[in-house]
Amino acid sequence: MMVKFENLKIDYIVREGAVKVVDGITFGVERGRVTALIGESGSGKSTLAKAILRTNSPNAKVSKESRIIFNGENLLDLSAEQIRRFRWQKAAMVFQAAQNALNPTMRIKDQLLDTMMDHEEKFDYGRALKKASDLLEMVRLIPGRALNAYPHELSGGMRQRVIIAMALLLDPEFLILDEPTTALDVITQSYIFDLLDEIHKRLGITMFFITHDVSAVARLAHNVAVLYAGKIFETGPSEALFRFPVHPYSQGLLSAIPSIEGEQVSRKAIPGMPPDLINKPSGCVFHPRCYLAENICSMKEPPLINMGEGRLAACFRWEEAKKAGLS
Amino acid sequence: MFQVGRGEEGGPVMTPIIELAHVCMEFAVPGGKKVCAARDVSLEINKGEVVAVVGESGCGKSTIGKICLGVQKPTAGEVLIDGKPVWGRGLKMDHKTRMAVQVVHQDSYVSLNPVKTLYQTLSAPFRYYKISKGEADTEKKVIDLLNSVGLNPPEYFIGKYPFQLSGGQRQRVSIARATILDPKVIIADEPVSGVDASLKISILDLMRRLNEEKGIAFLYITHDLATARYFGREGRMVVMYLGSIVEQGGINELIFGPAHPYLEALLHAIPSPDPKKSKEKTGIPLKNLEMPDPAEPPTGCLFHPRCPYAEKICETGRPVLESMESDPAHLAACHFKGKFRR
Ligand SMILES: Nc1ncnc2c1ncn2[C@@H]1O[C@H](COP(=O)(O)OP(=O)(O)OP(=O)(O)O)[C@@H](O)[C@H]1O
Ligand SMILES: Nc1ncnc2c1ncn2[C@@H]1O[C@H](COP(=O)(O)OP(=O)(O)OP(=O)(O)O)[C@@H](O)[C@H]1O
Ligand SMILES: [Mg+2]
Ligand SMILES: [Mg+2]
Repeated sequence: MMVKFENLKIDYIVREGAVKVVDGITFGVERGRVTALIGESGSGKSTLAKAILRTNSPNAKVSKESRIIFNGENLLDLSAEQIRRFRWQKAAMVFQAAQNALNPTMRIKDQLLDTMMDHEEKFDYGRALKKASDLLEMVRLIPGRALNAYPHELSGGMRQRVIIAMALLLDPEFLILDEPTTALDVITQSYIFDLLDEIHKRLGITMFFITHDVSAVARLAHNVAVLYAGKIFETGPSEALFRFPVHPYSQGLLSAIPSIEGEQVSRKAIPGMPPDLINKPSGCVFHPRCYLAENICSMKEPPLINMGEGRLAACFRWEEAKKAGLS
Repeated sequence: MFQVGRGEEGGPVMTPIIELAHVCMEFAVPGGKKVCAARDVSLEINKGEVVAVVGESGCGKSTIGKICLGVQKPTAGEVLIDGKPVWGRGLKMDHKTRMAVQVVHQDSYVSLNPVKTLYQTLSAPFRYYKISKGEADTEKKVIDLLNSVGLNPPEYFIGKYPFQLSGGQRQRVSIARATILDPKVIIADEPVSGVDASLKISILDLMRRLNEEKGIAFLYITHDLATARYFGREGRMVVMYLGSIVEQGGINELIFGPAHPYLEALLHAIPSPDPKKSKEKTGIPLKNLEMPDPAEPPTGCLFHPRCPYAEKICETGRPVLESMESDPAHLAACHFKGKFRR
């Protein structure tokens, strides 16, 4: 395992109380593989990702018993200086809506070189420039043009590729991509995924994708984890999970995707709304919206149950759910 | 100028709710250059119809939306709402006609006033336009409205501020607000592009219901062809590229038989939620993935530098939007119209 979350709990402290955004998560990201974390808007995906690099907002409170193990070391024990070194060099993140994160007053070249200067002990201008050019070429930009451009001179898709190149500058082992393409159109989106696939194959880097757009990651992900209201509901190899989701929530999420092929069929949205994260429902947080819920579901919280073949689901009624999903 | 609406062959001549005739929209950009966000666009939206506008970022979708809404004055061409010119000299458009067109934006955060409760936001038009009689009636109407867009129970939502709602709930409020004045058409500019699959479906279903039950027509702007098909069903689709309409026709006819190589590429780029299918997909049929600088559009066919099938004629001659032989309602602006050499 490259990264292992152990009983990770993160609350946002607000006037009304504690918003339980990440609520006891345990799962691992396999080394050298692409893992996708999928879930609805507001399910806690970005909060979980930011916890790895410790970039959560100040009102985020990580509980004492939580652990994030990276290469055998608990990241939550690192000092501020250690975590600063860890960022970029060991793990880098492409943030949500990153296209707008570039400094509008600086040329791309200066932004890339600054990032390297900040983190490298022996900074060598010539070598750094070569590295920046190579990476821009890897994301299929023309280095001569891109290096001298200001962000506003590039399209959204080009800016996103600059950001990806930037994340790779210090040869991280682990790359977190938070909704890397949701603001982009289908052509640019498809192009960026091709590129990430190529980068993954070329560098063997471990990737952790975070998205609500299930179709976008289907092509790349080896493993998938489904998040709902701060809980992991299902994990498994992507091919199997996308084909036969078992947890009633995963089933709902996947069957809601409209298709461009075949007959036009109506889709069903999952009934109801995501829960209030301050006053969560008792038992399984999904039970008020679940088509299989029975008494036990509102009383006890289901643990992640091993269903074999590398698949886990947090559902007391997974056997019934599996049957319903297959039929 | 007025045409018979689709599906009304032989029927009475109908005035479209919105008609754009040869509309051009030029923007001046730094460097003394110009960007043409709409080139000779003619389009009509008929009563109760769904028209989807699709294309890459920057192709001019939102510009067309703003022109239909009557908030952006085109540099050339005519805009008619209910047969009345929007920008005609002397003739001032009456308020009622203008209110017939409403809008729902992508970003519900910026379009809702953050310091007003839902009740304040939604009750104002009822009072201002004297649709309701007295406060009790206003409240009843707001409650009905919240119910109609699936915000249940309304009493729970009525006092909430926008930041207390999820993205999907805010988008429902925007849609609710757009329906207050009984519009004939709603311009929905990327209303679901920021939300997850389940919410997407519930919002599209809500728009669908408004279309079927109230006969509200929709101009649905998106870059997501799968949702265009889901929402548009038997409606029409318009494909834009660099400010031009390059293909137009029934949504299903276009999706299953694209005549323009650009639509073919767009369809190819759609990701599949099935990992197996997704992995089988090879590269997008485009020579160049980057859109040309809109301030320096190519000669000839605007698409030729990216078109894998382009021939000599495409570099010099600009194709016009014309009907296909097989289907008069299916138009394409391509020298080869589906019969390109692969
Ligand atoms: N600083 C904060 N204080 C209080 N609540 C917050 C804060 N940041 C986020 N939240 C809330 O925490 C929840 C989870 O937010 P998060 O950004 O992790 O979601 P997400 O899954 O990344 O969603 P999206 O798909 O919309 O990006 C949301 O309900 C959000 O409103
Ligand atoms: N006010 C403006 N001034 C200058 N250029 C503009 C203006 N509004 C739009 N444009 C340009 O016109 C073109 C079309 O823009 P428009 O916003 O209509 O595209 P779009 O298809 O809606 O794109 P997106 O999918 O990114 O929303 C773009 O090149 C844009 O930069
Ligand atoms: Mg997020
Ligand atoms: Mg737009």
